[in-house]
Amino acid sequence: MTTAAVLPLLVFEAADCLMAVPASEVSHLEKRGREGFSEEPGENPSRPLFDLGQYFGGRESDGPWLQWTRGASNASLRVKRVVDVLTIALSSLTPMPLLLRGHRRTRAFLAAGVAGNDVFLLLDPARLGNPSAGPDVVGNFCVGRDVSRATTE
Amino acid sequence: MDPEAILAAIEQQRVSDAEPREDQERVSYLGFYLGAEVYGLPLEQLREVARVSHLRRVPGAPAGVAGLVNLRGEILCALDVRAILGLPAQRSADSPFLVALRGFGDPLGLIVDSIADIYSVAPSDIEAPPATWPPERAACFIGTARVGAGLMGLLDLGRVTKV
Repeated sequence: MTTAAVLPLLVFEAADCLMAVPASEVSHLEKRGREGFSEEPGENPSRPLFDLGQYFGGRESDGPWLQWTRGASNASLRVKRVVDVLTIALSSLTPMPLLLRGHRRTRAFLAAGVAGNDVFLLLDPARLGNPSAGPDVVGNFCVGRDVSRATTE
Repeated sequence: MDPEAILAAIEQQRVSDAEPREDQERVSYLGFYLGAEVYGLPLEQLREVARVSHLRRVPGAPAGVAGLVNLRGEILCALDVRAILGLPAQRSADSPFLVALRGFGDPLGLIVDSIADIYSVAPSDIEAPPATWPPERAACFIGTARVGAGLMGLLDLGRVTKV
């Protein structure tokens, strides 16, 4: 018996758009503004800060900061608001069209999915500000059309 | 135009493609409006036409990308033909139409104002785009043809979809 690969996603609003990252990659939320931002003891003080509203739309976000970590990569992401945690089947995600994956700003979006009637964008924070980032990996899974080939690390 | 009528026309085109006919060289085009101007794309590259109820903008996307559309659970990348052709943006009270395309690697569609009709065009009826069109706009067309609705610009979808 096989089971569908599923991934809990933290869905949030930023830059007038619904976005998501794997929930397991978000350690905690912090409400303080950039100036008052505090690092946990032992955390990397050079953690990059991205206000997603500014990064994509030029308008500053006024919501919480998400502390994102994947292996040795980490970042603090400011969003407008956190919407929900949804468990999504990987097979239901659509890889981003090539014309968007090749574009500098939209390259950080790996795939799109549907939540209710709305569309959300699966964000790979490792690609923010890094247009030459590596393979399309989210959580422990590769994103591609053939999700049956999803691999685990 | 009723989407059912469009589907019927597609089926008719498929049947006619399979039968040898004297006017086989004629090509059917779906005509659609952007403002008052009519444009056309080959019917064989049309998958379906649907009303756009909700368009999700992709932040940071190039101007030619209108956003993503959830079409019965399938996500399509919707292109803004107005922006691609350099036409002025226009707000309409009616929700626009999505013309879903076939024959491309990614699920793609065009955002258009409304559907005009289906026109049968012979190659001899196709003329070069007007010299008054800017070169970057003219490059998006294989030509123009005179139809009942006026001068129809025949889109070169290969160019239009290279946003």
